[in-house]
Amino acid sequence: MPDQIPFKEAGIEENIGIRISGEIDKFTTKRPNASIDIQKVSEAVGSPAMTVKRVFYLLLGMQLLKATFLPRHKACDGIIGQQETSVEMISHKALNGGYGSFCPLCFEPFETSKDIEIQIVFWKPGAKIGL
Amino acid sequence: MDYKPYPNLTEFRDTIDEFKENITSLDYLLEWRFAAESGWDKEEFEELYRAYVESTQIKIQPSDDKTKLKGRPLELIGRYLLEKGGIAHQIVEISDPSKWQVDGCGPVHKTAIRFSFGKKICELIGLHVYLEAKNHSDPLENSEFSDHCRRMHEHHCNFGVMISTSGYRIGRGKGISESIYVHSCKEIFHALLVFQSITAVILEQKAPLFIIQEALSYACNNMYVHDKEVQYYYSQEACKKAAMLEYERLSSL
Repeated sequence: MPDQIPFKEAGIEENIGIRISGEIDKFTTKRPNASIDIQKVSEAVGSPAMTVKRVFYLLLGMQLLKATFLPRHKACDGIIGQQETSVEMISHKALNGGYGSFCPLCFEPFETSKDIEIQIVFWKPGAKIGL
Repeated sequence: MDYKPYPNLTEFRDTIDEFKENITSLDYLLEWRFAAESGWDKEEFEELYRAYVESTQIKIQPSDDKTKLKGRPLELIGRYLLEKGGIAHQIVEISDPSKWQVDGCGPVHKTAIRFSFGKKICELIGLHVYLEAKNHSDPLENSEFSDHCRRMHEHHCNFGVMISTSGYRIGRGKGISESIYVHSCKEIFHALLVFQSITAVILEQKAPLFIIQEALSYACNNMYVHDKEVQYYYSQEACKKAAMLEYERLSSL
């Protein structure tokens, strides 16, 4: 990761930010084509997942990570479809009934596209995802 | 907002909004957010960029496949810029064999366009965008621009993006400047990009959405006619110089 990541301005303690990004580096060096698990990074650095997530969001905004997207049912958090390379693809499917009319896990009906939450899956730029 | 243990889009958007308020050292953070949501991969882009920069310096021989060596690298990076930059999605080449061909066409990303260009422009821009790319040592000709405009008109497309490696013939009374302005008054929008527009993504971290917005503002403000700096930026001389410098920079890495 580059040196000039504005952790402080982002409300993240500098040393914690550096530790988290260092852990991400370690993880991606070992497994460059695997998605990066926030929970594992959180456990490795001993910081709460919320702080770790903020660092991931910052790095994604700075193009130091890339993302894929997974549709989940907001009410039960169940995964309701395949991973996609863009948010728009999930929105398009949701608007066109691509996820059916009810949740296959909790059987609650989908009333609007807002019933769907989109999970972000993080990857190192250049990772071969195979989607 | 419900707390979700997994990283999610709602939280990402809220956090980026908050960063935008507090982080002064990062430009175009909101525009980059749309790129991230469209699957932008910095390394993929850099790979396409390197191939494109190299292609600008190739001297074509009569036996060479011009489309493969020069046309394709620019088309690929142009499509990537639009699709993964959050401007449009599912960009594909369309054609009526031996009659016409469009280097890229795809539905406009309405949310990103509305955010970046405003509600009014977003409505006027319509549903899809046409991309035309020219990777040649000569600037884009008036006739090529006319062809592009005619195709847009025939297909009810109000938003065109042209990329020309070696610039355009523009300036007062010259080339396409007047047409671009007149078209923008008639609510047909042309974003003209040159070599440096693509370089700006790498060297200045400009987001693709911002680059398009900048080009549209030149058109709407008639700057191709009135602004000497803009005219130079779009000239063959400036474009060639920039391409050569960038080729040398990349070769030295």
